[in-house]
Amino acid sequence: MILRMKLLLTEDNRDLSAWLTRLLNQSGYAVEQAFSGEEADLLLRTQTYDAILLDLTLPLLSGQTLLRRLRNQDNGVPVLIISAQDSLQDIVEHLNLGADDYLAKPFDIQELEARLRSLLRRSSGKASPMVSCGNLHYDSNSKIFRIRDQILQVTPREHAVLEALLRKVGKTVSKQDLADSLVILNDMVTPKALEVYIVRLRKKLENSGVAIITLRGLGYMLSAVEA
Amino acid sequence: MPSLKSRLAAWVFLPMLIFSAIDLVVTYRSTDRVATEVQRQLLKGSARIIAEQIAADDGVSAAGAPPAAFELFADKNQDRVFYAVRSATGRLIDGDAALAPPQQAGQGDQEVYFRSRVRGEPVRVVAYAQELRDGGHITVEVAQTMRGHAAFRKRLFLITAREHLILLALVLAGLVVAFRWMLRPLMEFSERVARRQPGSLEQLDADAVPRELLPVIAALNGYVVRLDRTVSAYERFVASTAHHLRTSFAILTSQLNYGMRDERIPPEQKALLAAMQNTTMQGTKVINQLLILASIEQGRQHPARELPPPASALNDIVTSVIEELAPLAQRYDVELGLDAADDGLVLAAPSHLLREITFNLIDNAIKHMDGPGSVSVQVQRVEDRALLRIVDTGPGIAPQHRDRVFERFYRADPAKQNSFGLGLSIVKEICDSLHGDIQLCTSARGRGLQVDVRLPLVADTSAQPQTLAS
Repeated sequence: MILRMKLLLTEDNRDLSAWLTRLLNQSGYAVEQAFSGEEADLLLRTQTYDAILLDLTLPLLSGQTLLRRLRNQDNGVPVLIISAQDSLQDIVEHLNLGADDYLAKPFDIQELEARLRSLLRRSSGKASPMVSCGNLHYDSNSKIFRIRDQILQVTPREHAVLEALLRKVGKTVSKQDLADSLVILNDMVTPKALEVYIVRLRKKLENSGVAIITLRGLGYMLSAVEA
Repeated sequence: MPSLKSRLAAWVFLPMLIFSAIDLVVTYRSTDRVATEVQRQLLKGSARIIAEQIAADDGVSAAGAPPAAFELFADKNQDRVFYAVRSATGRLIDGDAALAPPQQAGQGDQEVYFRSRVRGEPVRVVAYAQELRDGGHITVEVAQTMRGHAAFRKRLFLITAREHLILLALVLAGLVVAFRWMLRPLMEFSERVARRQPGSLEQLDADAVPRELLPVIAALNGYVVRLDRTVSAYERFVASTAHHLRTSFAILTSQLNYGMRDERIPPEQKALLAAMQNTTMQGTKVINQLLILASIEQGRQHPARELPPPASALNDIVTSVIEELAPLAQRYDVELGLDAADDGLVLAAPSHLLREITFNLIDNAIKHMDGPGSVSVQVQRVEDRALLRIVDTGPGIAPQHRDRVFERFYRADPAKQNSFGLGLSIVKEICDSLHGDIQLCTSARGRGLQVDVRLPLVADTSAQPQTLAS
């Protein structure tokens, strides 16, 4: 991480706050802790943050009130709610109130960091040059795929297919959309040919912890799997 | 206890019926008396005419009895009339010998009546004594068969009986009206109570019921309030327990995450940390499942909270669940696919409950596979309902287990350690709460399980599906 992102962690449980701070520091984030809504409110008057991690059940000033106050002040800082309350009714309400995303406790740090990254990417308004799925990383500036730190050698067509899959990681990409991604290369691709590229890519991704999964009737999907 | 209707009917209609029956018996007797009296008057009149003629003629004329004596009887009943004139000694002077002499003659102008038979036919007889100018006296007997008497009595009786029947009919009609109009509020009330969802803790409205029911409603509502308070306390307990458990699990997960990242920790200890993390995830899953069960229960008790009715696009939910479970399917070597997808199916159900159903069923299908196989998901419209069908090629569920797999904490195969047996019971309870149904059967291929979930579609097809930012 070239630029240290500054986060406000609003969490009343001091243990959880401490451990999350250690984990996020490890990943290169600068974290400031607030243990109550009041405290967070004070910090937000003087400081600017790249993102806020907000617990809902806070003493003195609830997460909801804080969020409403923030949005009424036209403060568009990305807010990721981390809550142990879990009714979907609540989630919809909070997203309507102006939260950008929601994560239920307990969560894996990798999941939290993935959500944070996409939140920060969205708020910065420009696509991040780095896209990742598990151990597979792609730098759109250098146009290079890496597995862990090893460069993955691919042909231009494989490149186009893998990039299309990686851009929608975790979601299915229909065969038609994949074929369309190859149109840039002035290729008309038959479904048969597409399957050939998929087979080749699968071979190259073997044991990488990343797999191209076929979902019958839906298309292909790139996903991190157990190696 | 018998119904109010039958009790009311018994207490009004039965006494009426008994009174009516007694009255008819009394009436029958009095009509008999009236008819007898009328007949006697006729017999007496006729006998007097004959006797006075004889007295005036000073003996029996050759022309016999005067016709006027018999004109009295002219009627349509074809009764036969007999007469006999006897001397003081009982000798027949004129008339019909078949008419038996009276047991005792009347004294002076006194007449006697008695019953007798003439040629086998029953008759009523009057014996009338007449003094003659010579100091002797004769007895005039006039008899009439009983047909007219019976007919007259019958006519009188029928008139009364008809009046009784009309009265009973009126009472019966009155009772029907009473049932319709007076018991209607009661029936409506009991229908309203019956229509409520089982387990509902809604208050009953006291506005549209008769005053007599107010204590019942007050008692029911009081009971509901007390129950609601208990249940709410229980729900708060569940919610705060879940909150604390989740927070503790979150700390534990963070600590495990931290340990896993530490480069100095040897691989075998990392494996241990990973196993601990796995256990934490399973515990979280159980907490979440219990919370979902609690929220279904809550939804049943307070259906009004669901307003306005949600609308969810089933296909989008199924697709995202399949995507979410794709890595799991990959790990189990299971080929997963959406084989029929109807895009237009919008359901009147909260999307998180539909997601829960779909997730549990597909997750179950994948995890119960005993080797490589496939799971096929289909979303179709069948008549006015949505059909979600999940077919797998696994070992299936033996028919004797099929009813019980929906019970909480029931596991068909207790040897399997990674489940607590809550998944299918959650699916079943959500289905029930959404007025849908679920069926398990062997798939058409003869092996594997087929699960069919049928859910009602939203009534208004123009409704916009509720979308959740993911």
